[in-house]
Amino acid sequence: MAIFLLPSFALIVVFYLLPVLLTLLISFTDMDYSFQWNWVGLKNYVQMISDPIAGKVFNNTLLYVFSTLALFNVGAALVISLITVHIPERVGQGYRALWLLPRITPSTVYALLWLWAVRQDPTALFNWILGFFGMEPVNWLHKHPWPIVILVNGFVGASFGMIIFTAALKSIPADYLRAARVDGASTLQIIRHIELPLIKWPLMFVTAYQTLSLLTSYEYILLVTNGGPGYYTTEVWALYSYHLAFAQYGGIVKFGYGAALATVLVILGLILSIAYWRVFRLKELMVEPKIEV
Amino acid sequence: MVSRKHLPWIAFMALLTLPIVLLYTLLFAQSVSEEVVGILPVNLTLSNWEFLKDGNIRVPGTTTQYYPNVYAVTLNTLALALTVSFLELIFSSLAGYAISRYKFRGRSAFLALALVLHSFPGITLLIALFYILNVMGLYDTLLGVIIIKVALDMPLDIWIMKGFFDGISWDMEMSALVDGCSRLQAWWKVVMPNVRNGLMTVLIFGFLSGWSEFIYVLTFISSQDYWTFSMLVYALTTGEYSYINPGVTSAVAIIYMIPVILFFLFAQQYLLRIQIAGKGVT
Amino acid sequence: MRRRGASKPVTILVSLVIGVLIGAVIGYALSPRAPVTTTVTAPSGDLEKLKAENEQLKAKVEELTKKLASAGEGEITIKVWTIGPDPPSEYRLKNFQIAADMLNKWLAALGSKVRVKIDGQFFVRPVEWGEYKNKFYLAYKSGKAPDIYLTGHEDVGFLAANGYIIPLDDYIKEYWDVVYYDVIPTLWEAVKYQGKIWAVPQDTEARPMYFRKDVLKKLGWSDEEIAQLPEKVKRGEFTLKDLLEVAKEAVDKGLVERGILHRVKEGYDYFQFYLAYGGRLWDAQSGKMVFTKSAWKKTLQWFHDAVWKYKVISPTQFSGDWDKDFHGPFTQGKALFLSGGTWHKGEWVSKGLLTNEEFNENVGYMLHPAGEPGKEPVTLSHPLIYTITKQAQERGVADVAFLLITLVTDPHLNANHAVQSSHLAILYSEISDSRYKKEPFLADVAYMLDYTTFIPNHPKWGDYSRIVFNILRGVESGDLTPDQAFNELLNGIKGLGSDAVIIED
Repeated sequence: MAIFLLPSFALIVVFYLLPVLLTLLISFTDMDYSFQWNWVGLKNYVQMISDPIAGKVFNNTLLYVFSTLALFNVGAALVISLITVHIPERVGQGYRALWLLPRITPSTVYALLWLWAVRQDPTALFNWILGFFGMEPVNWLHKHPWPIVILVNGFVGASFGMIIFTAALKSIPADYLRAARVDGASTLQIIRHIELPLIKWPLMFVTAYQTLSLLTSYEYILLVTNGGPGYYTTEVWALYSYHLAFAQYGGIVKFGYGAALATVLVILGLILSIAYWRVFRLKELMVEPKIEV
Repeated sequence: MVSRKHLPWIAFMALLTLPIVLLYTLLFAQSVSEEVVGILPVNLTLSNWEFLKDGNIRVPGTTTQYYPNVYAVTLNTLALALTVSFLELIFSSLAGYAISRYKFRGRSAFLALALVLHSFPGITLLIALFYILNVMGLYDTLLGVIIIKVALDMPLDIWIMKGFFDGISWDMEMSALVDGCSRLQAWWKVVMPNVRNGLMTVLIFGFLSGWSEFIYVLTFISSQDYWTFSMLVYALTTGEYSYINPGVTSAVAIIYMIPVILFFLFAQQYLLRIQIAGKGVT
Repeated sequence: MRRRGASKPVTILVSLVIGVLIGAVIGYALSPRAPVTTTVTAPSGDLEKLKAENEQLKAKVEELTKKLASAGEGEITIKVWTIGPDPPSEYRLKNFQIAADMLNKWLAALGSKVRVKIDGQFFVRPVEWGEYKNKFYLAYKSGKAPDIYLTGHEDVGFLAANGYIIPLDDYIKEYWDVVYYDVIPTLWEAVKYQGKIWAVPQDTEARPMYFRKDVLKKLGWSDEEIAQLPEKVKRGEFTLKDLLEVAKEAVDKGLVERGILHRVKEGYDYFQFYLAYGGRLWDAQSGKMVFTKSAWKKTLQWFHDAVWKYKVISPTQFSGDWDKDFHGPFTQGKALFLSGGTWHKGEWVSKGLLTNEEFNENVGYMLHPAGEPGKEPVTLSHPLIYTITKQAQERGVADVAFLLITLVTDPHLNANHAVQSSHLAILYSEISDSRYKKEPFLADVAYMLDYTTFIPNHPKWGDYSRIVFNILRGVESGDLTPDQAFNELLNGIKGLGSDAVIIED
């Protein structure tokens, strides 16, 4: 028996549970590359509260999470699902497949495409399109960093909700819809009065789930703006923690302070994860084995 | 049977999806031309692909090799992706099978742990993982990245595999035994074919997750000897010696995309399953 | 606990089969790669010359080699880590291989069976300084540190305070007459921390403000005026404000796309503008860093004006690309001024961006001008240094390591490096080396060392530098007004603690 669970259990303990504890412990030190455990008590947390950059980064994080969530991870996802289930299936499926592409594209390649598309030269994709309308080229990353960051993340993020909403919409019994049509309901009325109420749970699930994902993700921001341009313009909480710990010119690192910032996310992550487990009744999935052996 | 009333919606979707199409068109146009205007290639050429001859990406005007050999990078990336996917397959089918078939103390605790961790973002543990790898002497090794990838994907994999094992009834195994199969044959003939979809899902998920990995490679690997494609593309995009023609970068990126495109074309049902079960990055 | 009989062995069997399959892959993943080592054999001319030049050194060396020889036989491996990151600086490592080659010939001549081997690494871009240093700390942590470690002098404080390196006073005293008397004395200041010497200088450089002569000519300057510009800067008659105005004129007239270029990534060059406004960085007496409020205010205002009033620095310079926004525009004559370093000349020539002739024809160089009349022009030097790690001492090879450092601290060998990479001499006798003398550029910029400042050898210097960098980014992008920037900067620096930084008006 033990041999079945041992490998995965050991991995989870050493590389999942232990790190949670270690992150917390390191946040009470001023550890750097000498890896010394100099305990400094709550100093890092006090610094976090008084750090004006942390304040700015906090606001950035809220802006990033909620706009991406509203516009894409839930908003666009819902729009795409609703449209593609109401148009012929083959066409709808094609569109959904295309929306899946950014997510499975390696992040470095996907970011590279965007970096090319938003370059400041007139021949770059965005400016080339502007050119058709007679508009001047724009240095997008410099002038409009936030819209670009949100677009880059949003085109990846929409597919998760899209798949879940589509599955939920398809599971609505055809009779409901047929009955409504017979009663003379328009497509918009059907969406408003039948479909949306029926996918309330998936909507909540996607919203909750993606909030946590967005809060802790920074890969695409790192690749596209790296927190810039200018003064921490698009730096988000998780990226700030990363920068403090791993990206310092001259090898000065702040594992301690970085870990304190990460601890905030770790604790938030744990609370939300447990909450999802309860709220979304994941517990029901833990049925006892059907077979007694 | 596209009826007229669908047309505006199809058109609207086309507009919404256009950026994606344009981005990937740009990638291909870039790789076969000297320059791209918007998405239109100027002066078609295959010279961007010349590095395939010996795998060395040359910086014009210098003889120093700034970038590791593309074929070495390919092997590293394959080693990472294959090892991650096979280890995930083995460990998660072991655990998934045990959880599905055995009743033991701590079973529900273990499953609850896996479920809670499944939505917990492992990326926040980067600093602590760095410390652990360093203590274990695994910093700057592919093995370090492999172990971390496997560990962090494990809760999801277990959840997937357990679901598949739950779906097979004991009766089927039993009737196979009654029909004169040995235990081994029953397991191989009855259990394995029935979880084939699960195994494929875990394999593909593990492969793509290892193949595309960027942050852990960036953070835990420093030698060029262990670079994977993600680092190479990153360096070509941002390196100080970026005299590299964008055409060459896009050619490298396309090679990097090959497995992704294959899975996209031929194994979409697995990708969809991963997405439903999986934690989205964003 | 009951189990289903067959499943366990079968699972194990299957695991084994798959395990064998992936074994090869894991094996591949784990197998150590050959380290990047360049093998160089010394040209025999070098050896003859060296031998002839340094009889005294030989005597000393013989003494030590005898000690080595009595150790019996075997190979002593010395692990050396060096970095460019500019490729032309490869002699930082190659010189060790030449020196070891020579040493082995001596050992053979003495009949010893001991040989010295260099296990060396020379890191180039895209490995950058930060990454290089991180690798060192990690290697040290796992007991695999190099014996000789090349780094920037500003790390002496940090390395010494944390016990990574050993003090070298006794060694240097012992070998003083051999070569160390010849080291340009100011360089010793760069390797001291708390009264001890912790390293041997490897090279130094100056950071000139380069300018395009051809562009100035088009602006109507006479050859005479152009030739006099460095002199005017030296006398403090051409200030940072004049720099802005000339740059603006060139941009307005459409002669160049950009007026002034500076590095696009974090670095120490920006401090030159602060120094030019009379700012102080280091208080030798207390061993603390200094923050001069008035100078920082003016510096931030200058950067703001350069971008937003004169429009001669691009607001996106900091998010730019080294080639497209730094090397490229300047070497193609599309920018007038470039705040760079002597080694950039070496890079341009070796990368084929400019030939030596083109460089001499079209490019001039001067100090960074004084901030305002009455202030001094400046440059900044960042000597690189060889340190010996404590792990070398623990391995018992510190003596040999130091001997090798002594051998490479040689006018001929160091000139190999200086000439190829456009760095400046560290030895007086090196200045008279024939090859060094043939490089007019190196001779021309030598005077700059009289105006140079070193960055502080303080453990918290990296923090100071980083705060400044982020603030400057914000000023240039327009996110911060000069006043906001100053307040944020002051707050940030205050956060380093009064035991690290003196804040003065």
